[in-house]
Amino acid sequence: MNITNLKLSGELNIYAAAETQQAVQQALLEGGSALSLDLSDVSELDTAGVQQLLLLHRECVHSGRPLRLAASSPAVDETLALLGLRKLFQA
Amino acid sequence: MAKTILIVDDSASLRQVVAIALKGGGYDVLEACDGRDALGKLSGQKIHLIISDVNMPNMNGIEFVKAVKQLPNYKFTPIIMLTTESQEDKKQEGQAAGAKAWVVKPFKPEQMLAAVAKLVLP
Amino acid sequence: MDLNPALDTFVAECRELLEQMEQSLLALEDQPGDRELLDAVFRAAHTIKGSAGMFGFDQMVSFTHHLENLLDKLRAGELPFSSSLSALLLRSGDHIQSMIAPSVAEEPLSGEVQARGTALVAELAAMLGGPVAAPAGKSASSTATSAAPKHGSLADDLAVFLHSDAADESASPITRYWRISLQFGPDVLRNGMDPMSFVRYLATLGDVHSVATGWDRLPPLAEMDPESCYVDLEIELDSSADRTAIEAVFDFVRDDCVVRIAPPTQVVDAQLKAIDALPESTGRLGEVLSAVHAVAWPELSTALAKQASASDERPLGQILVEDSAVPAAVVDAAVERQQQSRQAKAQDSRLIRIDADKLDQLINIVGELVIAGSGTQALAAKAGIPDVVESAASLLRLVEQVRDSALGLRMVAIGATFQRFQRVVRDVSRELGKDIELSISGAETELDKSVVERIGDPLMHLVRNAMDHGIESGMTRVAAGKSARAQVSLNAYHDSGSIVIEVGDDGAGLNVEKIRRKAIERGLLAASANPTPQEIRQLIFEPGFSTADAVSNLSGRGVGMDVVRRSIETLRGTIEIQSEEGTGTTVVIRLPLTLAIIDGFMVGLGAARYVLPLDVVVECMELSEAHRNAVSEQGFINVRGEVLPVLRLRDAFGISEGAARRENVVVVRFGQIKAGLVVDELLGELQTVIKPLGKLFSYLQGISGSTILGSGEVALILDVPGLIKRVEGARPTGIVVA
Repeated sequence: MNITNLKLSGELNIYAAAETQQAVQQALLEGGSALSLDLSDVSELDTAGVQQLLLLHRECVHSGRPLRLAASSPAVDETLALLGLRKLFQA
Repeated sequence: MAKTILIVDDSASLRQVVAIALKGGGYDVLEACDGRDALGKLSGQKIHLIISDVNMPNMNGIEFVKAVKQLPNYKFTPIIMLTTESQEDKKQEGQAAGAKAWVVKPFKPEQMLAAVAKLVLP
Repeated sequence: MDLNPALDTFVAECRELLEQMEQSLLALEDQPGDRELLDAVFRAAHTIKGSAGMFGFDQMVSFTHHLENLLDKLRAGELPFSSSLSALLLRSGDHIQSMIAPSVAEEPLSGEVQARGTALVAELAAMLGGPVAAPAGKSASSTATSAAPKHGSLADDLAVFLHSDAADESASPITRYWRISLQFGPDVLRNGMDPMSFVRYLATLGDVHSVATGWDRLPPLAEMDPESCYVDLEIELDSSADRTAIEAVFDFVRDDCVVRIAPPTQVVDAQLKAIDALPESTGRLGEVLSAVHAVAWPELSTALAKQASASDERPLGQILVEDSAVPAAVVDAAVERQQQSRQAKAQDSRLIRIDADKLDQLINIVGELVIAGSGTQALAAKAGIPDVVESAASLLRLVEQVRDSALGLRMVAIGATFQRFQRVVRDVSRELGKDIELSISGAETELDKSVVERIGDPLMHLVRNAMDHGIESGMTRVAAGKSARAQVSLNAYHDSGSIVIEVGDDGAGLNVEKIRRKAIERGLLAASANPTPQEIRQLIFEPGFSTADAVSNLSGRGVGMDVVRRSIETLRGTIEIQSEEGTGTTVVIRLPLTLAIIDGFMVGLGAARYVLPLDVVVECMELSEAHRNAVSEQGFINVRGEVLPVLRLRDAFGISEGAARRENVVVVRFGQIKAGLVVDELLGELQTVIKPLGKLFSYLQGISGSTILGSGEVALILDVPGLIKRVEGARPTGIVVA
C-alpha cells in the first residue's frame, strides 16, 4: 500500500495555478494506490486553486484512487464551504 | 488583514473621496496620480484591486492597463476603469485590454463602494 | 395552459438526450468501458433532471435522480456494465419519455405509468445494492430540485435534496429562493474576477441558502489551462431584493458569464398580479416586463440585441425565458396583457361616444318618419295608383330599416349590468357566511338602453333575495346531499320579440304550503280557494308578503317582490316565478325589446282605434255564434280543444255604441299565457311610435300608451299583459266544454 502524499502550501490562487497544476500532475504520475492531500499551510484558496483541487479529485476518481484530504486550513475550509464542496472532499 | 486597493487618478480630490469611501468600507487605500506613479507602486506588495481613470496625462488609462497585464505579479488583479458617459469607445478599449469593470463619472461614493464590493469584499 | 416556448425546447431537448442516451447505451454493449460513452449517458440523465427541475416536474426529477445515481456510479467505474443493466437503463429511458407529455400538459401520470416507475426504481435500487435514499420531490407542493446544477457534480446537490426533504415544509423551501445559475466563461479569472466574490456579494443581499459547483466542463488534464475558468455555479438566494438589484451583481461579468435568474414563486405571483393591474396603455412586451421588474434593463437590452440580429430568430419572449430564466408564466401574462391593450386600442378607435339626447331626438324623428310613411302608404292604397302604391311600399321598407338601425343604436349588451353582480355576490355571500358562486350567461344579449338602466334595481333585489332566502346554509345543503357551494345564475336571451332575463338559484325552492298558509293569514287567499301551485307561487309578488322567518337586513320586510313586479310592469314586462322545492328557484322576467317604436296590429272598437304589439298576436279569427254564447256565459271558448279565456274589450272599456254585427277574436300571448280579446274589426299591421301616456292617464288599466296614425287619428296602445291579468283574474268557477 503506497500512498502518494501531496502537500500544497501558501497562496493557492491563480498566480500559482500553473505551478499547482504541475504539482498535481506530478503526484498523479507517482502512481500510488491512494492519494493523501495536505492543505494545512494553504493561506488562500481562490477559484483557480479550487479548479486544481477539482482536477485532482476527478483524476483520482477516474483512476480509481481514493483521495483523502488529510489536513486542511481555515482558508480551505471557508472556500470549500462557500462553494458547496465540503462533502466532496470529506474523508 | 484588510484588502488593499490602488486608486489611480490625476485628480487629488477624487482620490481623496474614493479613499475616504473605501477606507470607511474597511479597505486599505494606496493612491497614485498617474500611470507611471502607479506602476512604481506595483512593486511587490499585495494589491487586491486597481481603480484607474482612463484619461490621464503621461500614460493614459488604456496603456496603463496593458502595462499592468504584463506584470507577472499583478496581471490577474481586477481593474475598475473610470470613464465618462460619452466615452463608450474607451470603455470598450479597456475591456478589450482586460479591464472588465467600470464606473462612470461622476459617481457617488456609495456607487464606487458597491462596484468594489462586487469584486472584492473587505 | 398555453403552450410555452421554453417547454417546446425542453421537450425537444429531452427527446434528443434520450436518443443520445439510447445510442450510447447500445454502443456501450460493444465497448463497455468507454469513458466518453459513459459520460454521455450520465450527462443525458443529469441534464434532463436539471431542466425538469426548473419546470417543477417533480416526478421526472425524482425518477431521473435514481437513474443519475446509478449512472454516476457506472461512469466512476464502481458498477460493472452488463447487458441486464443496459436493458434496465433502456427501459428507464423509455419511462422518462413517457413522462414528458403528461408532465408538460400538467396532467397526472396514469396508474400504469406510475406503477412502471415504481417497479423501475426498485430495480435500479437493487442494481445499486440496497435501498436508495429518497430523492426530493416527495413534498406535495415542492417544485423540486432546481438547485441541481446543470452540469455534472454530485457535490452538495445531494445535500440539497436531502435537505429539502427533511424540511418538508408546506411552503416549499425551494421556491422561496431566487435560483441563480451562472456559467462562467474561460477568461473570468484572467480578468481578475473570481466566482467566489459574487457568491460573497450575493450574501450581502440576503441569505445564500445553497451553492452548488459544477465542473463538468473541466477539460482532461492534458488540455487543462490553469488560468482559465471552467466552473458553473447554482445559487439559491433568499432575498427581498428585486431582480434589477440581483442582476446588477453581475454587471462586470455580463460578457464573460451566462447569468440566469429565476425568481421565487411569490415574486412570480406578485409580478403576475402586477401585470394584471397595469393600465391599458402599457406598450411593448419589454416595457410590460420592465414595469413589473420581471426583467432587468441589461438583460432586456441584450435580448433585444439578439432579437434584432439576423442569426437569432427567436421572439423576444423566448429569448428572455431561455437565456435569462425569466419565468415563462410571467412572459405569457405580459404577452397577453400586451394583446389586450392592443385590442382595447383597436376597439376604442372604432367606437364613438354619442350624446344620449341626440340619439333620442333622432329616434323621435325616425318615429315620425315611420308614421308619415304609414300615412303615405295608406293614401297610396286609397288612391289606388299601382306605381304609387309600390313606391310607397318600398319607401316604407327603407324607413323600417332606418328605424331598426336607429333602435339598434340604443341597444346595449346586458353583460355589463350582469358583471356588476360578481362583486355583489362576493360581498353578500361573505356577509351571509354562505359559499355562493355567480354564473352569467347571455351577457351579449342586447336590450334598449333605457331598459338596461331601469332593470338594475329589480335584478339587485332578486339576486339578494335568492342569496338570502333562496339559498340554504352550507350545512343544510350538504345534509340534503347538495354541493356546499351554491349557484346563483343570471341568464338573458331573446324570445319572440321579447328579452328574457332569468335570475336563478339552486337553493331550497319555494315551499308552496308555507306560502299558501301565509297568504291565507294575510287575507290574500280564501281558505276555501283551490289555486294551482304555480298560482300560489305567484302570490309572492303580492304586496305585504314575506315568508322569511327572520326579516333580514337585505331583502326583508316583504316590500321587495311587489316593488320588483311593479318596476317590471312599468317597463311593460312581466315577471314569473318558477320553483321546485329542494332544487331551486328561477325568476323569469320578460321585457319588450324597446320602449320606443312598435310593430303593431290595429283593431277597431266602434269608432275607436286600438293597437296591439304585433309580437303578442298569435292569430285572429271570427267570433262564431257558438263562441259568442260561450263568451258571454263562461268567459272562455274552446279553440281546437284548448281552453282560451276571453275578454270582450267592449265590456272592459265600457264601450256601448256602434256595436258591430260581426266580432273578431285576437288571440294574444304573453309568456305562457294565452287569451282572446274580442274586438270589432281587424285592421291590419302598422309600425308606429309609442307616445307615453301623460301622468294624468297613467292610472288607466289596459292602456300603455298612445300613437298617432297616418290619418292623424289617435290610437291607444293596449297593455296586453295588463289585459291578460284581468282575464286571469276573472276565472270561471265551472268548466263546461262548448
